[in-house]
Amino acid sequence: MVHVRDICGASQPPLVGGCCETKAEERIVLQSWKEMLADRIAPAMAREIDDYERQMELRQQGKIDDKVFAEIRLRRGVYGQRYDNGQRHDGEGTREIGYPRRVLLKGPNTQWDAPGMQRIKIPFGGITTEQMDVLADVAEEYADSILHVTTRQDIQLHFVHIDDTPDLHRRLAAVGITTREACGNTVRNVTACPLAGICRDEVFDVSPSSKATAYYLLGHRDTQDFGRKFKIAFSGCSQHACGLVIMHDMGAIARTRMVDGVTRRGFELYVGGGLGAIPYPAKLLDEFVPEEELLPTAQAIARVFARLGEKRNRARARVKFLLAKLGIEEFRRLVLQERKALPHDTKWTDWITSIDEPTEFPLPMPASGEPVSPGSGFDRWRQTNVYRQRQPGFAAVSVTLPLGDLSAEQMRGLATICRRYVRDTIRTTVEQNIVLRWVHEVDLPALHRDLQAIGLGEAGAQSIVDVTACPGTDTCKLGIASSRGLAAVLRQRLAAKNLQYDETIKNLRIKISGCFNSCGQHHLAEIGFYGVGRTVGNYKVPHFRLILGGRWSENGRDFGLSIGAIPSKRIPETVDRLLDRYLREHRASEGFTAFVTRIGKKEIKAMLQDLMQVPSHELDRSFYVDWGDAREFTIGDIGVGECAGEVVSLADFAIATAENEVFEAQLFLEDGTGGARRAVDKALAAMLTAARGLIQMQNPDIGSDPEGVLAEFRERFCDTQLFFDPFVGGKFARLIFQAFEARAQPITPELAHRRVEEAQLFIEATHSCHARLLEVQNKRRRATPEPVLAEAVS
Amino acid sequence: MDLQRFCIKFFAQPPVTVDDAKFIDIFHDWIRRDALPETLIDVADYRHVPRGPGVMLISHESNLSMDRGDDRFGLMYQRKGAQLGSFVSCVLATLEMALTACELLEKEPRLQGLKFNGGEFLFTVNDRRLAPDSDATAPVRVELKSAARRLYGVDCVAIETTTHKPHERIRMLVSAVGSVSINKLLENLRCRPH
Repeated sequence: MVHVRDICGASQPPLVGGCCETKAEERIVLQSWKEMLADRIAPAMAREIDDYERQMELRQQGKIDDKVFAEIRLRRGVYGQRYDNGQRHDGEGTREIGYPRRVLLKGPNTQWDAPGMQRIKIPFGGITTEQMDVLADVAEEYADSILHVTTRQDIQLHFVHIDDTPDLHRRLAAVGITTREACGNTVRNVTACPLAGICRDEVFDVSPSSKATAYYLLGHRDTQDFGRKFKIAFSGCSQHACGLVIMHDMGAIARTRMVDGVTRRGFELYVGGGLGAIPYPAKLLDEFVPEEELLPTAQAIARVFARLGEKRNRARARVKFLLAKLGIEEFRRLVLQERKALPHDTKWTDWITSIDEPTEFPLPMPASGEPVSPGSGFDRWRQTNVYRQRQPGFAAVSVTLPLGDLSAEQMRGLATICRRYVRDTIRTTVEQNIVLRWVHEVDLPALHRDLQAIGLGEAGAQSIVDVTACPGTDTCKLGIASSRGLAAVLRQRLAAKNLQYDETIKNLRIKISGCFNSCGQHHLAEIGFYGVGRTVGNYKVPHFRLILGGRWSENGRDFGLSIGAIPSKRIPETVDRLLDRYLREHRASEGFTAFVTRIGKKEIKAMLQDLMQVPSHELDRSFYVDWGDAREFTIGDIGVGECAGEVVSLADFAIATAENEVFEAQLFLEDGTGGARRAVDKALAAMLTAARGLIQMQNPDIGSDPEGVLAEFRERFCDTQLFFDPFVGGKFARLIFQAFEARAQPITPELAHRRVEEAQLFIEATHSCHARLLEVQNKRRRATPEPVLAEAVS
Repeated sequence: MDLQRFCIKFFAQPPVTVDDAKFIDIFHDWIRRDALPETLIDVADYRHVPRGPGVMLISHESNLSMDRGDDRFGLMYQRKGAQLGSFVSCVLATLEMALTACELLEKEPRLQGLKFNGGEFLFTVNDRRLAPDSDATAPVRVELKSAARRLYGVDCVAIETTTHKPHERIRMLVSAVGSVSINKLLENLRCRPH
């Protein structure tokens, strides 16, 4: 609907190539999306979006507190993005970004006009062609024309202005997508294996149960008062990684059981898993929850979490911490108690009545009328991207999305291709790809040709070249190093060597996070990395910690541990060296992680030692610039011209020593009997060494008595908050006190593993604190020139 | 609600032998130097997306990318936010900003003589409330014609609709007779009465 005020309207003659005088210049006025979509959005969804739009207005009028509004928008999936505090380091110094309305905030220290991220929930990854079209449209009109598939099957748009979000939400709602509770302290997207229903190894299809759980808990009154997020995942089997049940707050694995001669469906139910800074494997809550008990049990868990979970300290507010505090037995007792007290809800079982009816159908006939001869690269693509379904004659095809990205035009093209070859049987995956299910096998050559035509015919999905990365410093406020930049480089190098076709290593995974928060799921890969910063001279250098020991199998049961930090620019060489050695020396059928265990982390570290060194800034500036960036990797005002030579302080030495100690602790973990105890003791010693190093910056005479170190550390770095992380506060400081208090407690291998992780994090925080203190010193030095220099100048 | 979202693309003159990585350095420099009169924010690297936007300069007002869509390399300027004034004045302001960016790139020594063809540009209505098959696109054509005449300073400007698919946005290729330099177009725009 277009209204044009006072100008020639639709009755104007065609103007192609012609010359026609218009009347006075006018504005072209269009109907609003709200009006246009009024009869296409479910009333409840429309009301929610109207409410949100009204809350935006109230916030702009100052009638809603910015902190409250932040949670409101987060619950609509409207997330902050890097530089939204109005500050950015341009490589030379930190500068203000002149957003138009600088005093108007959309959250604490978050400017209204700063672009943000829109997270869009895709329950169990299920998506339709109509939805794909609209997602492409909104990416083009409100974002940067790129759609990003996340490691939790969501889709994210970046650089979105908050003023555009109500219309964006309306357009998604018109095709059945809600962004409600995509972020915030809520039940996040419910994920599931993308092969559910077609997998050759599954017990049964978990798509209906994951969908029922997602919609039952969405907006449920029992899920509105959490201290942090709550993530749920479903898997049809135990052996594969696709569902990643073990790293979720609640995870369900399909199981069947014979009861009175009848096969009954149910779930092995896990709780309290999570990655984050320190990974926790989920604990078994119940080995068989019948399907009719799934939703009430989930509700009961949510009630326990809402009632007893931490609310004030966000760093300890996930289910895993509640479980660690209560123990699984007590947690189980509380859940059962809640379950018994719940009033009956018919929705608990509504979804089961139609569960045996098929939810997906293939096209009745192949789309290729006549056989199509395979195009170039077809065989290799088939080898890596095609999965033979358990239904004869059909295949699932993975569409490789580099770093999880595709353009709006590609998304629209993909929707068109999907219409040609499948029905709405499409899933996003936790490995950041899109899977088309129910493809007639005879259509594969034609489908590959069509995918190639839109730039999506690349092989290597779910292989070693299909590197997963979180947004990192590209857009995330917490990113330390460029995970996507590194992923792009690794992907290119590994693919150039055709490693995705090498039977020995093609199934290894490389996963990268931009910081310790694990959004890239680095703990679960055979080769993982997370971003950290180091100070060399007066410059910052992007590094990644190398994580080995994880395995991409069994729903993410095995977590890796750090070997050490390596300069970002030397990671490609690191990967080459690891893979070369594995290819040279592995035993028959010995997996990569088993190989690492056999030769030992000490040997691995020794083999990489030279790569951990950083050349001086004068010698090679490239080490001081991150991948895909042109700015010097510095924060604050440390910078060019300030370097008066390499100064290695007591703190530098102490932190380096602590690094060695924590590495030794890791080696003890591999020792078997007695190793766990020694690992815990060494991890605590490493923390004390690091803390002592910091104290030496203020008190060089500090002794080595642990209690004395802790007392001074508390006084000088905790009470003053000098050690506190800008984002997570005192979370890391607490680790040393907890470790010390628990030093005499009985040790399990799991606890020892966690304590080593904690020690690593503590040391990482020590690096950060040390760097911050150096910055302050440098600032002071610049403000007050040293007397000798001052005299020389005068 | 006014129609204010549109994109303008000026095509580079072939042959183009530019390494996209150079735009990362260049756009970061632009931010550092405040090279464009916009609120410049960041640089996004999408070189890994086949036929994607390549390297993108993000500002509060626009997304500026070196685009390879339609198999023609060029500078794509996507105007995002609300603008004041009539449709024609908004189009002219957007053209001026796109041309300013083209001029900066032409002067950039790291790009070894990259040149743009000012004689034509692609205009895209980035708002699907205006459907391509709608009769109501006629007013857009009329107003765009008016803006193009001001840009080129001549009446003989051709506008060809290039939208072919149902989900595509309205796209119009605007061409003047012969080739025109970017500098000349900027002169025309800067001399226009405000």
